[in-house]
Amino acid sequence: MMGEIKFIQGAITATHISELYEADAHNNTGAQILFTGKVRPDVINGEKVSAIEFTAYEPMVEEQFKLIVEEIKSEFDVLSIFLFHSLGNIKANELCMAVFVSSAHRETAYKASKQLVEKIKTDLPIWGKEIFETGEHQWKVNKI
Amino acid sequence: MKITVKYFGVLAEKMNRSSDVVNIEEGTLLSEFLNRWENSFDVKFKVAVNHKFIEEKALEENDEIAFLPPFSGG
Repeated sequence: MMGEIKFIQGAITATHISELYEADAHNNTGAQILFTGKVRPDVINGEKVSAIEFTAYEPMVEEQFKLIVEEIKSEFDVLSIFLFHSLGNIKANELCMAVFVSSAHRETAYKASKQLVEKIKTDLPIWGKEIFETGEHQWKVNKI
Repeated sequence: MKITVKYFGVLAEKMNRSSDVVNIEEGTLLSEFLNRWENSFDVKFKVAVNHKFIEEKALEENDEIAFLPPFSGG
């Protein structure tokens, strides 16, 4: 289905990823791009990030995502768009986001995927709290 | 009339709760309501009403106002 979004409690696993490919299996697409976002064990002022706790304003994320999908569809000839985003505590090196785009040809799929990931980062009301090994935390700020 | 105010991310942490039900006078404008919050937080935030970004409206019963600090998903 075009433009589906799903929140996953906890980390995104290989099972979730295979769901994406199964969902697109019969779409007659030629190019599939999967972007996955991973919790990076950043070291900030000498302290290591051990996890990120994600929260979201879920009904608004869903509405905003529909607008993003409309924008991408109007600009690119894409066949499917999926977003899985984690909620809750995700440990360093685990996956917290999967963005899947398919199209007939790779050029369109690459471009649509890049634009989609950027829009997800800037337009969706989702927040990450970086938890340090010491138990302290700080609110994540997205970098370009 | 009653409206709901929701806090997210660092704002929920600062408020120590995620929402409040607030009694306001009928016909209160969004901007008037927001003026009461001026300088309440040292964090920049955007405001959504009923899940949408809007500039101005006369608030209505059961409206849901959300205070949204900078997003950091993905």
